[in-house]
Amino acid sequence: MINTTLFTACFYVYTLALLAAIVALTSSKRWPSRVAQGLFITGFALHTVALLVRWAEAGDVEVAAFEGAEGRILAGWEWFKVWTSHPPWSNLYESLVCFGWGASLVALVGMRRFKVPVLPVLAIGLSMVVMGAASLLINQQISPLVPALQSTWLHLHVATAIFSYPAFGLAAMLGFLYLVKDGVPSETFGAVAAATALLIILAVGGASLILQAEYTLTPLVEHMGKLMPLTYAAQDAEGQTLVSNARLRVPVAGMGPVLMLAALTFLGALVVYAFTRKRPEMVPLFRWMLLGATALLTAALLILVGTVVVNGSLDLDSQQAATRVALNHMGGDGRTLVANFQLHGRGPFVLSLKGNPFEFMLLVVAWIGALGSWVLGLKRDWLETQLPAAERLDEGSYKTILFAFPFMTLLIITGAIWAYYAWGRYWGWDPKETWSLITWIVYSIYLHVRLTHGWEGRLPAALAVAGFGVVIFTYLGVNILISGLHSYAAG
Amino acid sequence: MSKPSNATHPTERVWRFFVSIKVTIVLLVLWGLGSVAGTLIPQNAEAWRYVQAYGPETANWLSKLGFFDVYHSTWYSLILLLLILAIVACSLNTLSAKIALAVTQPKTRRVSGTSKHHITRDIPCDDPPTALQALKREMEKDYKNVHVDDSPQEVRLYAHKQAFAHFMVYAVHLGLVIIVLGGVISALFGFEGVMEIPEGESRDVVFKRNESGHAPAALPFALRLDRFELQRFDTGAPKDYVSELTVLDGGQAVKSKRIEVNTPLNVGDYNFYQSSYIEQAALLVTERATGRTAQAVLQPFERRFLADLDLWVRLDTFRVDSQGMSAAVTLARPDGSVQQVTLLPDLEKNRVLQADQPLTVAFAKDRPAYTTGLMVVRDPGALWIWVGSFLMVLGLYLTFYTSHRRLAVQSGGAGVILRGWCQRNPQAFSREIDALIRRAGLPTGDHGAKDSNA
Repeated sequence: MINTTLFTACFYVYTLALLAAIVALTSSKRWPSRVAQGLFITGFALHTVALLVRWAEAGDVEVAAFEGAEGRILAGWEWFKVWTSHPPWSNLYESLVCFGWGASLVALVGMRRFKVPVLPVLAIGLSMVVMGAASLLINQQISPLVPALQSTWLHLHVATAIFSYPAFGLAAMLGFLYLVKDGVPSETFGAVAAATALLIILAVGGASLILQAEYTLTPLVEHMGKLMPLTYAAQDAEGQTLVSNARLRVPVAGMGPVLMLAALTFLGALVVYAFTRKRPEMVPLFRWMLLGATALLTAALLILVGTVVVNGSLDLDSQQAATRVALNHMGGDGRTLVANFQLHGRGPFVLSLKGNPFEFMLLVVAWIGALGSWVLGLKRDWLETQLPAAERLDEGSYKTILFAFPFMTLLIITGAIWAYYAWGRYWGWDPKETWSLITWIVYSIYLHVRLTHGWEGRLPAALAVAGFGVVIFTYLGVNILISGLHSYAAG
Repeated sequence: MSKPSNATHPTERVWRFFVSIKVTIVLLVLWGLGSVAGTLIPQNAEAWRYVQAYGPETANWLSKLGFFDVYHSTWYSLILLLLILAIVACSLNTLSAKIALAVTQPKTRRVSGTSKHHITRDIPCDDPPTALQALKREMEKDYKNVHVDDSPQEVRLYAHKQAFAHFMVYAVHLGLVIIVLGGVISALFGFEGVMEIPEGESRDVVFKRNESGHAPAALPFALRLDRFELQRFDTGAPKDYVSELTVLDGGQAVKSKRIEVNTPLNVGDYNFYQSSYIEQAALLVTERATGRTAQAVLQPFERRFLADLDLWVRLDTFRVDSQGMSAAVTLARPDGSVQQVTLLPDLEKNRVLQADQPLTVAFAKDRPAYTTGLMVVRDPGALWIWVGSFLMVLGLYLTFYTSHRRLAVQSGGAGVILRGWCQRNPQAFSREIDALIRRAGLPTGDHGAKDSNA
């Protein structure tokens, strides 16, 4: 498929744009920032073309499926209707590339409107992270739309999401820059980044990291010409199914202890931070610990990427070896209970970042946050002189939310109408629905807090930043952690 | 929270409490946290799962506190109720102030004061009367009515627009209240049920779903299934199914619609969704000796006693594919004699196979007998949800993107003075005023010091 190649190319162009934007920050000349902008626009144009190409390729799939089912060849208007019936937003991969496209569009508009330094770095970075996550997904295939997804309301639903979610991202960036300009201490940003990194490491590493200092990864196996995560099923002695379709995880040699050490150092940095309020002389120690933790996280990520690149094929051929690994991860009871253990797929197995794309991306985000907050402390004074007046940043963040909030409202409403036609109910307290309501509540709190005397300034700005976290959780986290109707994130 | 003085009356204190925007924020936070709780704990699961997950003691307490059905719990409803009360109280509290801004103040035809919402322009000019004329001409393009106060001392111009913007926030809040009420109406008066209609027949009873199972309820109209259509893959597996339904009111056809997944039939508050179907074989059994016949409509493994022929008939298998229908049927007399019949898509073959049997079986129709399964939803609240949603979105756009603007112009200083006030977005108003001055052919000058927001 040409489109996935184009999307990957798009990711690389965004990477170049980001590098140029970073160079532009350190340079007093105008050309690096022009180059960065030019590259970003090129990437966006490529992104647009890739989306259209995917739409056309999906159209071919739909036409083929329709003609196969009906046993006749389509022509004219009827062909066009079927050919355009599958816009590229029906599975997770498509959803992510659309989100990335919206992020780039909103970023380009935001960069033009607000002309704030550093904003290009943050905005291009967001597009890059989104496209990077998309490129790591295994299922990039186009499959015919299921009947429940063939609805005009779905298209409106997604279109509102494409504009509102990235706009909340832009508002969060401006809110963050407001907090920087307004004089929130660098250690506070560092502490927030450290706490986030710590949570991410613990969540991603899970019990095996905490209890055994092992970082585990799901290997891939080839199944019917496609790479699939390696899964297993297990039964107890009576033949009762204990687990089915569970993902097998194998440890990445050497990474666990380093990652655990990084987590402990982040924790230590947080403890030190707690003392810096009363004893400012401890700030340098905090910064050293933040740097150390970041270095350890960098090392852990390098071990992971190195293992995958250098030793991609995994020596896991025998059933016994796999069984041992799996039993290890079934916990204490599993050892006695499991009588029959079955691996879905036989070797050769491949260790790849694609086994757990979101876990890897979360670690990358933690790394960016930790490194960014450290660099922020280093360049704080310079940055504050570069940024425009705090009121302008606040105004920009506010106006962006004023743009996004009605779209968010429409997003919920179009979803309700769609659900009403598809399932006969407009609201069912499905986790996804509920989290979209929670997001809406967070931003209505933002709007009311701004109106409240004495609560203006930092609190709404912090809400704008945290709100985007809630948006991302609603968009991806709910699907990964809590199952629901929006099953697109499953594959 | 607000701190009412000790002297205030208790009702006054309750009032002050509710009209505080901080109370609204606290309620919004509680609403959000309550909603989060409902997504972290699986809702309405079987009791044993909770006991397994939390232990009997904790599970019991969580259950009493409504954490296993958060969104229908008393406390969740209470948060929403308090929120609505706070909205109503806030709206009533601010109404008089808004009327003053939108109606009373504009009547004074003056703009005075200094705040970041005030904009002042001193325009030096040699001929103020001409400048005022030019400004009046340009103001008439932006404003509907430009008032001219022609007093002996001076000439004053005054205009305002979008005064309605003050009240648009009420549309948003009213929208939210209507949505919540719509939800309450749905919960109280709505129901979900099932209905099965055999092809060619009509039904007017729906089986409501409730905790104990299904309870029959009469519909105010009847539904007839004119035709059921099942599209299959080549393998015979069902692909899509369609019901052609007619609504009968007192026996009269009112409307007809083809329904399928995603395309329901809507009759008043009722919606009918295609949810399932039953496929049966319509069999015609003939006793060769007497020529007597009887019909039976059966699902696989279903049997029926045909009294006319003193005979049990059972359908063993039934298959429909691109070739046609095939079936295996067992016929049994009460005396114990059994006859097995195989029906194939080829009718001639069937005749040959059954040539010298005492009983013959044939398909009564050239297609299976279908019964459509409909999900019936009555939701009188849905309409209010859409009305509330529309009002809310409209209100949001008008609240965010309109602003009451007032503009007064008079001669003074070194020429003419413009004084403007706007409800929100002073930057935009400032640009608008500068454009107006430029169109009038006057210098906008350096006014950076005049605007506190520049």
